[in-house]
Amino acid sequence: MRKNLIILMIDGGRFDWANKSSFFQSIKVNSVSFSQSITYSPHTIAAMHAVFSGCYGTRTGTNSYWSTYKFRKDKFKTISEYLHDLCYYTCADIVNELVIPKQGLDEFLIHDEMKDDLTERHMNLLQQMKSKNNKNQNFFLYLQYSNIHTGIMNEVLKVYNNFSKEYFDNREKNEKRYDFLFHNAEIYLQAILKKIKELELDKNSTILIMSDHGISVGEKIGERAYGAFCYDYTLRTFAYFLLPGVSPKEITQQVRTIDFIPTLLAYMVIINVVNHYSH
Amino acid sequence: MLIVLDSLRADRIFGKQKTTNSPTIDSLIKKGVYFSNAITTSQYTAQVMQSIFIARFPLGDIATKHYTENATPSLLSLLKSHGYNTAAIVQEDVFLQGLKETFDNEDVSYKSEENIYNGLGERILKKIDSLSSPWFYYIHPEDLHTPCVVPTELGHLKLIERYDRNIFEIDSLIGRILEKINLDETLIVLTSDHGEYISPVQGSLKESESVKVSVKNLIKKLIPRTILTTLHYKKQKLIGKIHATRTDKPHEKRILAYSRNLQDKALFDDIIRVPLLFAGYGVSHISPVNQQVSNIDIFPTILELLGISNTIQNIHGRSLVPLLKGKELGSVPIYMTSLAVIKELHLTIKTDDFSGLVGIRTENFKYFRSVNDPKKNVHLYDLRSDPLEDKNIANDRPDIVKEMELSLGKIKNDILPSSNEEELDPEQIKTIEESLKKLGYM
Repeated sequence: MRKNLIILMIDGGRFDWANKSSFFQSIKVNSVSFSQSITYSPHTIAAMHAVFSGCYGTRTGTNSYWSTYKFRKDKFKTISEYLHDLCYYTCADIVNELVIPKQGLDEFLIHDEMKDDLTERHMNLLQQMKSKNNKNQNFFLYLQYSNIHTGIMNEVLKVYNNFSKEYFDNREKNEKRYDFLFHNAEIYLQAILKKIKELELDKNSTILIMSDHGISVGEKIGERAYGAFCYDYTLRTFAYFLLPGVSPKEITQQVRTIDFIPTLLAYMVIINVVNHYSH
Repeated sequence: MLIVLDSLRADRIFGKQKTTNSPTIDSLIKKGVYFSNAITTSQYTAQVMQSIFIARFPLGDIATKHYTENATPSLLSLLKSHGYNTAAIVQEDVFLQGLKETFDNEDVSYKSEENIYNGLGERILKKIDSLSSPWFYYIHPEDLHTPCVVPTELGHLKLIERYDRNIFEIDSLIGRILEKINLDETLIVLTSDHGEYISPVQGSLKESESVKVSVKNLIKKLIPRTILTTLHYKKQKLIGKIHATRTDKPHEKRILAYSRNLQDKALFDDIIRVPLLFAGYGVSHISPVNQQVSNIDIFPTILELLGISNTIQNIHGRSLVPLLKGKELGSVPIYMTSLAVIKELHLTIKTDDFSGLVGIRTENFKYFRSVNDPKKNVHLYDLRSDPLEDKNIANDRPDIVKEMELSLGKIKNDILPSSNEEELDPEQIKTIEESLKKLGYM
């Protein structure tokens, strides 16, 4: 039986915060980690379409907040489609229908970031996947943790603009806000990983823990959150691959997040996508 | 100044097999940097030149219009936007066959009857006097294009003799050009669009011209062009087969038997290896560079040497300035195809009659096969041990064929986004607006 694939995507997770987190350090020592993984775009829509297709948005058509519907689905095959073709059950739970390509997903679930308890919701989805797996059904599960975004939306995006003096003069306050949101993400991740272990999915699943982009804490006037500039505080992301049978290792060389899916497909011995449209 | 000498084989002006007397080009090689392993992308002039100007491989096919119709802007437009006055003197057929570049001068094209012996050289020289700085000047003499026209009194010369003779004449013309320009202020790029099979047994100009004048024009009026084209290629193949019986060596057979216009024979080094020379402004002499480069690298290199930032994305060409300065630049595979993917060429060449080829060339291997079927007409040559491409090792090395096919696939699929993307409909715009508001972005 093939390995399952679980992607845990921490929306807005900064690399430098993960790097100083003792919890993330505990993940790092058990994984293949990339300390210089660079995202295609500093916002979720373009970043994750690029990850799913293994290709920059300049080619796929999804290169902005406004271009989800311009994704050239006839030309670019996504991870969901590759796995769906191999009879995987494919499921994603995301914050909004625009953020990833729909193609190839059996379940395309949208959560309410303001109301839903993502920990509980995602543990339930893991349980459902386990049931399928018990019936010899492989699965691909993509879970977006969106509550860092939720906090930033409520406390930054809706309160300040990109040039608010009050925001950029209070770097310490901004960092504390992000500390709190990031810590909640750690708690979520801890619970999810515990659940995965309980269900023994860690033994037959490839797991990728990643972020799509970082978030400003007031570094540069003109960008109160993300999506305006291309500094490392938004472009440098974290990535931890939990690969059964592969020794833990830190890879310091710069890589691109669009390399992740071709890498996973090759690792899972599914297909070498080099001959397709991938970058 | 971009000098493109149509049909000039790389081996004629540099290297052990150099046969011609070309003192001006020799002197430029000594002053500048010569690339001894430069590769073109096709055997069709207009297609090659368009690739040079947009710094892209001729990808796609005519049906999907991926090549010129949706292409990125020409890099020439960057020169124009930086105040360069542009001029060119190019045979009219090149424009008719699909070269889409526009230049500032009105007398941009010359007729096929014009050549360096009857006034073209003077015209090229005179144009220099009217150029106001800064200028970009592109000249494209066709005197090496078969049948290699020479004055009547030299009509008895064989093709190979006429070819070498005309190289000498063009070299003299370049010498006169150099007398008019200041190399400290002018960057000269010399190359060719493609090579040619120059058969040593092909006869005098008088023979071929007499047939051309007396018979061909009449035939052209009586027989539809498509039938004529098919007959022409069949005739070429038949004559080639007869000539090829003179030798057992594949590379010699090719010279004797093949024509550049035969699509299934057009990707050998006889055709796709071209000369490439940079000299003058911004270029200090170093020994010839042996690394494989492409002629689509020309414009990115020109722009960097002139200090113009290249703002056009989606190009395959790379600036060769690191190599010009003796530094390293990683080698990359070069895509080539014998298929006509320019609309205008497609109308004049009946592509489905012939077996178009597609392939890549690396520093070590040459690989090509049928455009339509990866299993047909498969060729693989080890260029390190077999530079003359005598032994096809495709059947012996399926591992390398596979590797080359993957590499080819990566380039082939590197298509441009469509320039006429469908606009979003009102419902989609509404959905996006609502989503972006909900996510806090609006």
